[in-house]
Amino acid sequence: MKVGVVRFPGSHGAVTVADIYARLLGASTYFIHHEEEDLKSPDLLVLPGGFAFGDYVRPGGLAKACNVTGAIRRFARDGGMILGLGNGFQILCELGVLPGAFLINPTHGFCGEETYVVSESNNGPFLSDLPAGTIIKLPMACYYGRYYLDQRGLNEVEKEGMVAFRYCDKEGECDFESNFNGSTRSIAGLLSRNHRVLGLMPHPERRCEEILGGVQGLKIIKLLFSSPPATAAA
Amino acid sequence: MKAVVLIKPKEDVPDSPGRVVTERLANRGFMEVKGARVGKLIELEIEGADRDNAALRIRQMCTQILVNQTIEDFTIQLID
Repeated sequence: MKVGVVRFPGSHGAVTVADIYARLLGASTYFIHHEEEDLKSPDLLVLPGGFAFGDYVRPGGLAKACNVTGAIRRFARDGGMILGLGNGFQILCELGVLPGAFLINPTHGFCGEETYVVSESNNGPFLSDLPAGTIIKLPMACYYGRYYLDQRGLNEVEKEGMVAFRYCDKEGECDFESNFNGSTRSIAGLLSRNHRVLGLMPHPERRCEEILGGVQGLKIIKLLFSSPPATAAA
Repeated sequence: MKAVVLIKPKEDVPDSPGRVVTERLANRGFMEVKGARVGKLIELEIEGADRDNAALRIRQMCTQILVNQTIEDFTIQLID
């Protein structure tokens, strides 16, 4: 599998996620500069976390003013598979590849805690092998982590089976307490309408090795790999 | 010429900074403040003197890059 990882000035999860895909899952990985117009036909395109262009104006706002974003839009339109993590999710929303937007956390600033998420469906290639209702504990790292979608958009994403993950408690219950950042309907991860693009606010790439706190994140990272090496088993 | 773009959250969008500003002002005795909306100000220095063209171009900047109209409203002020 060929995995392209887009790097913007301010991206800081790019090396981590490329390393996970290459070293643990045996993928061929490469970086894509933010002014590049050719994505080089990846099987999977990853938009990593961080703060593209410092989150100046708003997260992902200035990322729109790069050559690569036109290529990302075309790739999504043509059915390409894209994984957006943290800031990558925010950028996908800014580009209109995914609906909605992100607001500042209501809890007075940066959130670096761990949170539980529960999978909502197994729609599309990302989630096809993950039973709905799977509970995963993942780290957060965000300031603009509060997902916002208006009622009309919400009706559409729920009708189209686009909700991938919701924040929950350790029992999988989604309520006011577990929705710590006030995201609309506890949405933590979202699929595109064709289910081939996944945006996720928590960071599974940071929980892929025992030495780094656990391998829960591999359940998501390896979803597109039918036969991962034994060392990558989660 | 200079232009000022004022960006603020839409009325129906949660505004955590505005809520906290209101709370803290009340905490310091400014009880008359019943609400606050926290936005952004972007000052642009524009080359040329054609105000109509400048306004048009700045509107394009806002709708394409500077403003996310899912969550934000904006106004443009041209200053000589």
